[in-house]
Amino acid sequence: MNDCGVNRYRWGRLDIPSRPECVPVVRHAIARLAQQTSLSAEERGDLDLAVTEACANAVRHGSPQRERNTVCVAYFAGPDAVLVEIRDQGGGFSAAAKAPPAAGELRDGGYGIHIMRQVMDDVEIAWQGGTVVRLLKRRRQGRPGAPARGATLVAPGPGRLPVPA
Amino acid sequence: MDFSVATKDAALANGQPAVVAEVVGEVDVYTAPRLKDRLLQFEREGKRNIVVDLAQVGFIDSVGLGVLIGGLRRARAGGGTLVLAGPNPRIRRILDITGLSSAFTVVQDVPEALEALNREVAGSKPAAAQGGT
Repeated sequence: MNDCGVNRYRWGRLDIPSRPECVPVVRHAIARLAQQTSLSAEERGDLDLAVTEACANAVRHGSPQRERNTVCVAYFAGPDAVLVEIRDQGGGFSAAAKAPPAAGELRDGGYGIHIMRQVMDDVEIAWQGGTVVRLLKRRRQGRPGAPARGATLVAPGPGRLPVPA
Repeated sequence: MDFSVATKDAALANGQPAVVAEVVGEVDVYTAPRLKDRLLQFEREGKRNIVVDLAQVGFIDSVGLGVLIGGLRRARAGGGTLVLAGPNPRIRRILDITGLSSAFTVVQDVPEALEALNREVAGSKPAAAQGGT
C-alpha cells in the first residue's frame, strides 16, 4: 500500500466559553487527538498538562468578562508533533516576570508557565489582542521512526496555526 | 471522570487526631475548588494532621497544586502538616518540576503517610494543650 501521508495531518479549532468546566473538555479532546500521533504516553501526558495550564490561565486571568469571554483553542497535529494554540481575550501579562520556583519554595501561584516550559519542546507567549500561547510537543528524538534531528513542525503562515474556515 | 473527596478519621500514636482525604478523579481548575473546600473544612474543625491520598488521582494541574500548598500552609500554621500519599509517576514528575517534592512529604500509601505524620508531629503537644498554663 502506498501511503502518501495526506491523512496523517489533522487540524481544527475548538472555541469554549471561559468556564472552568470547559477546561477538561479541551484536555480530553487534545488527548484523543494526540493518541493518533506517534507521541509516547508520557509525551501525550505532557501535552495534556500544558494545554490544561494554558486554558486554566486563559479562564482565570485572560477573561475580563468571565463567562462571556471565549477561549479559542486551535490544533495542528502531524505524525510526529502536535502544535496547540490557546488564545484568550485578556490584557496580557509579562511572562518574563514569572521566574521558575526554587526547590521547596511554597508559592501562591505562578507554577503554570513554568510547568508548560518544562514539559513542552517550545512555548511561545505573545499578545495579539489577547494572550496567545503556542505549545509544541515533538516526538522524542532517537526513537524508531522519529524525525531527523532539527526537524520542526512548520505551520502555514508566519508562526500562525491554520484556522479552518 | 467523576470527582470526589472522601474523608476518614484516624489517630496518631500520640493521640492527636488525623484525617485522610481520599481524592478520586482529576484535580484541575474545575475540580480543585472542591478539594480546597474540604481542606478549609479541616481547618475549621481543627484537623491539622492531614493525609491527602492521591492514589486514585490520574491528573493534577497547577491549580490543584496551589490548593495542596494552601492546605500545607494552614496545617503547619496550626502545628500540624499535610502529607501526600500514593501519587502516580506523572504527579510525582509535576512535583519534581515545580520543586514541591522537597516542600511536601510524599510517600507511597496511606499507612506510610500516617507513619510520617507520627514522626513529624512526634513530641509536639496536642493542640488543646498548646498555649495553656
